[in-house]
Amino acid sequence: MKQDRRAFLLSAAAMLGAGAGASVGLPLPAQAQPQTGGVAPGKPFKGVELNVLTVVAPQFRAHEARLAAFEELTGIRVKYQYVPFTSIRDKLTAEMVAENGDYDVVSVMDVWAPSLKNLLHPLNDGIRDKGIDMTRYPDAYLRASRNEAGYIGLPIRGHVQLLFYRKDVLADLKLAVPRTWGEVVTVSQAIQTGAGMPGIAMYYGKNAGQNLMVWFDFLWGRGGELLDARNQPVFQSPAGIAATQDYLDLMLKHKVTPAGSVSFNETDAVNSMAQGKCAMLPTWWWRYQGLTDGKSSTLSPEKVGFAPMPGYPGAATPSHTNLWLYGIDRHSKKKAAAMEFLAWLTQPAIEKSLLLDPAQHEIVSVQSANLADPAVNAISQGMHRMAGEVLKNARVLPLIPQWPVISDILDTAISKMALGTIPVKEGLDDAARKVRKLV
Amino acid sequence: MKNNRLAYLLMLPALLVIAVTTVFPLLYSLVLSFRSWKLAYSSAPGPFVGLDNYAELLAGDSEFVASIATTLSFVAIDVLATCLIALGCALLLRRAGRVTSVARALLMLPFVMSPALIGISLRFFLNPEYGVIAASLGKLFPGLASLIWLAHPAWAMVALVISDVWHWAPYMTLILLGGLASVPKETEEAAAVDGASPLRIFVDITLPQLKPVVAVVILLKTVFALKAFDAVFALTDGGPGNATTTLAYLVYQIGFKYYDMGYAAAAGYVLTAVMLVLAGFYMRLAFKKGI
Repeated sequence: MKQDRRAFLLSAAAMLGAGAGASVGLPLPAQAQPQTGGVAPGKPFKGVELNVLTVVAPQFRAHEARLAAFEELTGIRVKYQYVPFTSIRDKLTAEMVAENGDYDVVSVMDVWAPSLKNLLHPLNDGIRDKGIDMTRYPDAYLRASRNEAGYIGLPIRGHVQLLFYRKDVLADLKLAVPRTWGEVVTVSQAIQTGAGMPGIAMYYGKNAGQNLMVWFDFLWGRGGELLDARNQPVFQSPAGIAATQDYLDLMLKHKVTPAGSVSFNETDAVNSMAQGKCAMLPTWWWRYQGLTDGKSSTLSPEKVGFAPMPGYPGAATPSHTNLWLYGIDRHSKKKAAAMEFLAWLTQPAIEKSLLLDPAQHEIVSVQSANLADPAVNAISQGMHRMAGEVLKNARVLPLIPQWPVISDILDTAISKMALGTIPVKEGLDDAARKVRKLV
Repeated sequence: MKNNRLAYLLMLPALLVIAVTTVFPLLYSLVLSFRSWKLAYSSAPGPFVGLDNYAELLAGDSEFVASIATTLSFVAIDVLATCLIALGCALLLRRAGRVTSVARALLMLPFVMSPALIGISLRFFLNPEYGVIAASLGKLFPGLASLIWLAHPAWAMVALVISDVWHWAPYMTLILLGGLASVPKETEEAAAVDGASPLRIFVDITLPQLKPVVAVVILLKTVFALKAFDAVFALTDGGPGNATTTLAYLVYQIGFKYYDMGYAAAAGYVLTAVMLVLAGFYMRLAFKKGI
């Protein structure tokens, strides 16, 4: 009986893997065929227990709920430990210093990976052995997953930025969704006049670099850059100054943001729109669920639309993307079993099952096949297809060990400039001086 | 002699726990403060650099100097506000009665709450769009109606002080209540019979006898204020700009955000040195007065 159940699970996993491969027209690599979604036959790791250290996210809880199938297939038991976002980097740091391999699989944000490289085991060999086809991921996520030595994690949770807007408000005022930052100003002014609410919720307050998330889009959209090829600061260039001025002028000059934007973090801005206090919001796509959840929001899905982030006229609009990776702790004593787990967990079919599960309300997807999947898009009203398009032109942040410090310097500078107490040029020059000293 | 040996033996487990959890980290971080250790490049401590970390801190680190100024102003306002409010509450709750008994019990509630939770809650309460405290203060004082608390350096500092005072004032009230209980009632009653006003009785009779306890309260609160971290982390993240970046928060940033462990240890030891001096005062006071 048990044998029958195992055979069923193996064949089901095989069908899922094959289906996912077929759905994007990609042949599964030859090595992958006998392994059934990366799972080696014969349960070579039976009895092994893996510990996963992961950030809190509904997606990972949903993974955990599916672990019985993995255990049945491999005999490997997997235990999850969740840490809130605000504490996960501290925890990873402690693990890196302790070097005791308490955790086998760890979740790491892309920009932290260079400074945590002593924690992460290179995955190139494991990816090759398991026959994982990395072309299943968008290029932006591939760039965020590797360093000079190769892949240091597999993409598991990736975010794109979208402009969320009140469909009902724009329709009432017969306004089109803005496509440029200039149009954001005019549309916001019309909303303020016609609907009596601020046009767009921005977040300039200091909070773990959140006030930089939209600033990157302004900077890159204006043709500016953060660092040059030698990692020297260039964000204080004329393009950088103009972009920063545009970014802050939404509040300082045009006054189309809520007054609180000066101290808002991203969550405050989301709450502002969710409570019906403003009409537009540039933020990560996963926020859509909170914006339209009746428990935390006054808005229903019918009232909230989404569009690509605005840009500058006549220019490509590179959008900022970020990524969570699942990597293997360099000091883990169960690396092979951990790779087995990663190969199974990161199958497109597993992700798709979450996206289609009505109980999950899951949005986040990192697999190209799922971003283009008609069934997935039917549920998300095309958000995934749009995200796939946005990702084609998306950019990741500089993956250098000093980035967390540079981010903090810029975070503080933006916060100061938003107060209007120092001019943009002075603020950026001062930040550049500090960054130069650092790098 | 035999009894002494038994006493030491019984204390041994506790001493071992203290050695492992307190003494070892203290000594290890002291050693680290003389080494270069950039965690992003190596998971093992680097070479000894003598006093370089301390020299860099004290000579040219503008963030460090700014954080010291922020810490000093926070400590001064916070300690003064906490002690005055605690003293006022203690005097109000001094008399025995059912209401005061219940109030004394309720005083423990703010103290048992996590400072981080208080910080997060206060951030919510001060939100300019739906914060209940911001809205209430705006109604009571129309001048504050358009104030965005966490956007102005001075008001963000006030918010930080409010959060810390709310957390600590009740505990300090309880200490002062203990001190007031030891003030002989006869002297106050004699002064009242002689026609002294309540204010005069407090200033000339009660306060002088309460001085040692007040001193302890001030010292304790100063040490706790110097260490303030959770509220900064949860409420302001050191902003706006770096207006509320206290030294304890800067040490955390250098160590756990910038991964410069040697430098963070040195900054931490500067803070520890200040606290050791204050702790010395406290111990002298405590032993002198038998508190």
